[in-house]
Amino acid sequence: METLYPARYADGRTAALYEVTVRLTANGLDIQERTTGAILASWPIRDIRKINDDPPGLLRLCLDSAEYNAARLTLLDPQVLFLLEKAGATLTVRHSSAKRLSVAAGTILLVLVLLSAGIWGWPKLADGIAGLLPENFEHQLGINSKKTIIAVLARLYSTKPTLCTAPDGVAALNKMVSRISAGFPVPIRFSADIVQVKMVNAFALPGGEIVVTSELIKFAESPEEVAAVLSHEMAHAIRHHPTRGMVRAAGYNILISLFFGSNFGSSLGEAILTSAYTRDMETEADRLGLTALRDANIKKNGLTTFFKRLRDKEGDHAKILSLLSTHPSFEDRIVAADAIADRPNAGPALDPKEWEALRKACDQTKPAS
Amino acid sequence: MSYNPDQPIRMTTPPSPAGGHRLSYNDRVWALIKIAFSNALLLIPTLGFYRFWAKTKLRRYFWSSVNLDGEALEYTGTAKELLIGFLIVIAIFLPIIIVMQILQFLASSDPGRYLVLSVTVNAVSIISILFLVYFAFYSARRYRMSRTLWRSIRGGLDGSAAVYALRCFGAAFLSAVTLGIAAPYADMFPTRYIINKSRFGSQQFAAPNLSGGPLMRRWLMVLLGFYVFIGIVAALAAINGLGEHTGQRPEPSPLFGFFVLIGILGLMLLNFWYAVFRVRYIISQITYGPVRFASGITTKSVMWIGFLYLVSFIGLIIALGFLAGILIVFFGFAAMAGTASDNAGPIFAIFFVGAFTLMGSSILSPLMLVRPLLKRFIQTMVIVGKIDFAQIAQTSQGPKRGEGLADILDVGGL
Repeated sequence: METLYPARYADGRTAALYEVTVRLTANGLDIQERTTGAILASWPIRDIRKINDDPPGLLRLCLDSAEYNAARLTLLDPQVLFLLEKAGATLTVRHSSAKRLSVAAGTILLVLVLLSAGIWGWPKLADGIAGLLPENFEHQLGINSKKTIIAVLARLYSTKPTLCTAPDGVAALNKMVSRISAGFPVPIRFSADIVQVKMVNAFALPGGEIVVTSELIKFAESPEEVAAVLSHEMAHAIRHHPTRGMVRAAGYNILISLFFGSNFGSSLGEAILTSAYTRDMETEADRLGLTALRDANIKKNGLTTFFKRLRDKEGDHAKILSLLSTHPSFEDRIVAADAIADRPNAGPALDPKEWEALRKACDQTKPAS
Repeated sequence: MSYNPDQPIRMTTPPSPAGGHRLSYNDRVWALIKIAFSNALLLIPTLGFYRFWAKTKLRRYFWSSVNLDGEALEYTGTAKELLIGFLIVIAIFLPIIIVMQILQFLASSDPGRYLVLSVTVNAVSIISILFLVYFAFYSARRYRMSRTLWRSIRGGLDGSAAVYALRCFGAAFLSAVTLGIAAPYADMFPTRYIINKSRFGSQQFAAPNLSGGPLMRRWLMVLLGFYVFIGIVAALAAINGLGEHTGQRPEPSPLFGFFVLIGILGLMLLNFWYAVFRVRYIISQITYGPVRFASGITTKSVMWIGFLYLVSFIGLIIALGFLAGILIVFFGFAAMAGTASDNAGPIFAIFFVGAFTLMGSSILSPLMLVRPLLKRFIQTMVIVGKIDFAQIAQTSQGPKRGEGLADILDVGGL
């Protein structure tokens, strides 16, 4: 005597629900209306599947066939599942391990291709795009991003965006910039500002816009130290590194927001802070900056002393972190600096009076708009 | 059948009206937690590509939690369909997005010089993005309905996504020219369309008596609140501005900030109150053959769910902020070492915060928002009248691909 199991059946043609009993036969399942005993369907055993990802407790079956794929059978007795499996039914289709392996390998390959396109392909393309930008566009971009970066710095330190404007100090800075500028083979227009913020830092922006922090001037012990930092930033600007960095960041923003379906990236202001130059760009800026100092007849010992003091202040962990950060390590920079010799007639970057004025540049300030 | 949406039905488990149909929610929290956590873990290492599978898993779970007359719904969509839809949209839209971005970038660099370009680019991108958002919303809904199965029969959404988008534009225009007063009437213009084009099997849904009228009284209160708030803020700002002419530059008073905050909060609550009422009213007007619907969902319950979700999210943000702070301090020491823009700290912090926020919201949103809302909604829904489901016939399969556009524009919803 065969066992009849209760179930509910919908045939895929109408939304009528049939109270049925199912019976295992040699070929599969016979679905019979409970009251009349009429056979509604016979499901071949090899086509019977459980519904994908049904939560535990739901016992729904369907047919893996183009014609009857909508029909559904809801079992009321889990026993039927065991019987079906025992009879050789493939209730859940497991892809062969070869197929699963190839899907996994394909996914990893796709991720790697995308990552390498992002890491190596896009920077090259972005450099090309940056080179195509018209000059006055780059200039305007620099002016806009200078405003942004001053605002971002102020926000980071919860102060109001403030520029140092003591006339003699500004004049001293401008003199230093134009002296260094003369050391570059093909100089561009530069415009430097001192922003009042408690962080030893300097930024190069598109179109020759430079920002130096008041804290950096305070930390420096000689005009040559400021000149060393300035020449480095000016070298970035001459090589269009800031513009290239910003185009790269813009591209990454588009891609990231596309792939993650939402804006996971950052605004333009943050993009400037995070558009880290590559190590190659830093090395290039170091070399070019030092050459400019030499050709401008400025002593380059400022670089060495500045970095040595910074290293003493920071300690050894900076060495470890230089692997993560994009700047060459202090040691590497000092070695690179020693490779370029001063001219015999090299002198200070500013005379003592001008240096004094530069150090007092923040005696007078104005809010940056 | 008279039903007064002003008096929500105050019960969580409605009795089955004699001979009517009955909805219930089958809660399986642990199964959902498992799905949410595995989704969150796989999202980052796959560069976000896993989200198509994540979404499909969640939908299969939520669909199967809803029971009508004891039979669970089923979501028959696949991740592959969503992925293909996404790839097609990427192929079409990536070049357009890039060109638009470059033009916008160019225009914003010098607004004076590129004024015409700037205005054109901005206008075109705002209008086209709005159009695409409406279009995508409708297409995504069409896809989801066609992948919803109950008793072996598919749902569906006919009509045209473009017509729907145009109706939305018309509605926005009508509310704008009436300063918001006609918004409830305008709102019904696209809403009626989407209801009338929806169906389950061969039977259409309809809303013959839907009108903005019953919403007017409450809407005007929301609008009044809004205009009063704007008026007071403007007046206070003007008083502040007068002080500036007297030479003293007044700091914005903390009281002013407090007022603005309270005002915005109040407006949000008022808006919630209206939005929940609107949903109840619209549901009360929907017919499916002889069947009608009534929702007993209350503003209080929705607000409570929203509040708990917000609290859990704020908790997450605080925890992440703490983590980011540690990272910034840690890398900050190194950053001081380099002279120029050294930014390992911010990069790491932004990356981690971004990644963890994404993971966090992919855990919190299904658990703390979708589940309680859906559960509440299903448990307070009453179906009145009876239809013979044997008369509801199967219809065609619906769109072949998933909701690519909605995915990119982030209007796909769950």
